[in-house]
Amino acid sequence: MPWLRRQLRLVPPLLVPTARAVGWSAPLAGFASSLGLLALAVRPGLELPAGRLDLWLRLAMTAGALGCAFVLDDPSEPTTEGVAGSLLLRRALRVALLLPATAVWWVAVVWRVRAVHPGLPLPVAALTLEAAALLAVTLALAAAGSRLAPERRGGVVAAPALLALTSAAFLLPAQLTLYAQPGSAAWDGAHRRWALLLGLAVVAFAAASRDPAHRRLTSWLRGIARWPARGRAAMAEAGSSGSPDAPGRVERSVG
Amino acid sequence: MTTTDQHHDNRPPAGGGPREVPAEARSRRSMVALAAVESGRLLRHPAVLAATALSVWLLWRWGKGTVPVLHYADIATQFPLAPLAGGALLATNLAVLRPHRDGAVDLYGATRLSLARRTLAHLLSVLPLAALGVVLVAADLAWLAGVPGGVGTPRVAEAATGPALIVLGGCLGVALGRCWRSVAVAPLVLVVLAVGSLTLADLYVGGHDQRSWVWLGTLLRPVTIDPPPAALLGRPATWHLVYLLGAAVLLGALAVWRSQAQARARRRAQAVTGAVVVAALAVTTGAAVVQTRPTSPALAARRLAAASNPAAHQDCQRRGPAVYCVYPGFEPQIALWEPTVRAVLAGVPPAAAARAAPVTVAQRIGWPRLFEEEGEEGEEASVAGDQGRAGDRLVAPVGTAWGRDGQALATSQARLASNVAARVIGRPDRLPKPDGERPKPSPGTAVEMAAPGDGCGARAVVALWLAARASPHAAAGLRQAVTEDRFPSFAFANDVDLDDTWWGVREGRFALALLERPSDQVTPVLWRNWDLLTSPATTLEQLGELLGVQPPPGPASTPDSFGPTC
Repeated sequence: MPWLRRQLRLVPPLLVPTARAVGWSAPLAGFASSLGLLALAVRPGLELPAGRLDLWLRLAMTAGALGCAFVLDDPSEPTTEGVAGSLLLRRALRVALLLPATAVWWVAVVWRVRAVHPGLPLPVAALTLEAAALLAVTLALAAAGSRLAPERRGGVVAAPALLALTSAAFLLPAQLTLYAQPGSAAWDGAHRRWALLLGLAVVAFAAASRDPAHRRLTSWLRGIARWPARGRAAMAEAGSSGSPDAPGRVERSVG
Repeated sequence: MTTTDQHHDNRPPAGGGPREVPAEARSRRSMVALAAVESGRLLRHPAVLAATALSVWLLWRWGKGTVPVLHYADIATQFPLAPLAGGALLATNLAVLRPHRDGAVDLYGATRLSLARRTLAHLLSVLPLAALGVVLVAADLAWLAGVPGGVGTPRVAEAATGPALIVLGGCLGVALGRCWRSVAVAPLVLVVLAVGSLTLADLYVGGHDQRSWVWLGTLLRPVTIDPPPAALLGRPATWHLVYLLGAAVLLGALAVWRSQAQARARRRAQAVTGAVVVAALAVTTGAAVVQTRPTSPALAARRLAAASNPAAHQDCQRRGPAVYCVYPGFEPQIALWEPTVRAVLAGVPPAAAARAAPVTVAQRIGWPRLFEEEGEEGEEASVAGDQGRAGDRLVAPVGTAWGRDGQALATSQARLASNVAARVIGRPDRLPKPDGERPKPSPGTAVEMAAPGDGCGARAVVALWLAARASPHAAAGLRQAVTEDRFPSFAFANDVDLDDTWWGVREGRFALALLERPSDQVTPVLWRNWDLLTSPATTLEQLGELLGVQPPPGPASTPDSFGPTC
């Protein structure tokens, strides 16, 4: 695998520039707000009804993941498309640099719950799987969204999409639920779905991070999708050639 | 930071225009045109479209659960509109930051509109979205008002809170966009606001930490599951609406003020905006102070009176074999209960039915939990209320929330049917404890009410069988309670009242086993041995022998067992 060896050789020189290029404020604010909300909701002396603790844990996960939606934002992507390091490598480096902070955040979340409710059984491994899958989905959304958003800021798409997906996940019917209660019959099935989601998200992240030169299929599909629009634009151009701009057009461009 | 040469409001446009129209009027007209364009884009934004779909679904889902009580249904419109408010926050923030994302800030400087006017246009663009919220709420309440058995009148302040949340979300999105150029801020603020409000609402509803400052959140659900009469609600809805709208105006004025400061607008314009900021801050603070006042002593006294002597606050009317007591205005619900009551009494031997008649069915609201949530004074009130009611004739309690569909309907019918059956087979009068003490209720959930013996033994099996055969929904409610309950006893109500009966799970399983058998095999045996089977001393084993059915095993006792045991 000479290609992989070449890519891995690029990792050390890319580490520091990537660390400087990442916008750290969003993920760190996400982690901080997640911990702050958990500290407000899970307090000593405050008895929680059954299932409420899991709800707060899952909301804390969502807040943490939301900040990570912006970690792939890179306005320089169009410029750096031609360099030796692949897009996947550069994005993977960003994710890897975020991992230590993510681990610290998750340990703090679990520690808070454990410290306040020491007697409560907490399925840490399963909840960690949920958190990992949610982060992977967020990063996949950000990677896919960067093609839609201006300046390759995929977070603009990923953050609302994550909120919408999480809201939808809370409303799923019992047979397909992702947010099952510990000890319930749906718990194992829900975590099989979380594991599947994690795998799919990693594949989607890798697919969305392929270099533009390798996106033959998607560019072909996009070409087909744009064909009618191009046709309309050409017709409009032919129809309005030589005529002055309509006043309405100027007004519309203001927004 | 991009610096632009911003036009002042009275400056003529660069491209010229009709000379007879003053610059101020042209600028205002352009602002309105921009607001119209932005509102169109806002309404078509994917986040708003998704949020609208979610809001509509939530309104429909919450509306179809129970027979509407309109002075509670108006509160229930607020949470479903919260996604729309979140969508407004995200979409307006993205709209305000669009020039920064597209690198078009300098181009905007060449237009006739100042930055402050553009901000104002973005703020105005939220209004059509708020109007959409008003339409959704009005349509929901109109739909619910047409449902048979619906009672109450919606209040404007509660119904307007959802649209006010949308305005607040939109203004917050604009203000965030004017203060921070990052698109990451709005989603994070949205999550913090949503989870923070949910936390406050949870503290309030959970009853563990009820304080009036939780009204500083944006959303607050009602406390009791069963709607109390409108006069006893005591929600500072009007002040909360003023608080939300004041906060929206404050955020909008701050956004305009920030734009004026960035564009170095005239001092006079800045002074006017500053005055609006101060006025909005004063109104918001005043409303916050008023809405966080504790429950007034007069209202607390009225609630206590309604809890300790509900009969004095209810209108009773005799219909057939039963007397129905309801809070004023709830009369249309009686017609919904009648078939269930008649079906239960039809399964009783005529002589026993005549002895028990008239069975009193009365509305109960779950006041004990409400009092419990109001701290130590409330607990005293709860005990006082209980003692005040001791000696009354036992009633068959029914909630003010009557199910319309699915689980809610099953639980409502099972509760009413089982309580009527309990009154038919059980003791006619309450037996107060000699020392007047009550078992301490478990915090936050249900309250142990009736003596354990009521729902135990052969007579409890008979009562549950009578209840379950009253309707398929009641049978479904019993099946659900028996199969899902992890404790040795269960009650059908969400907010268990003093008169509700706690049933043993073993008795419930036995009743379900009897339900599997043809009615013509069970009924004659029960009628022949009615006096024996309704005696508190008769055991499940004796009943089993009479019917030729092996009694089911009891549930395993767990350390966290809740409720009375048989």
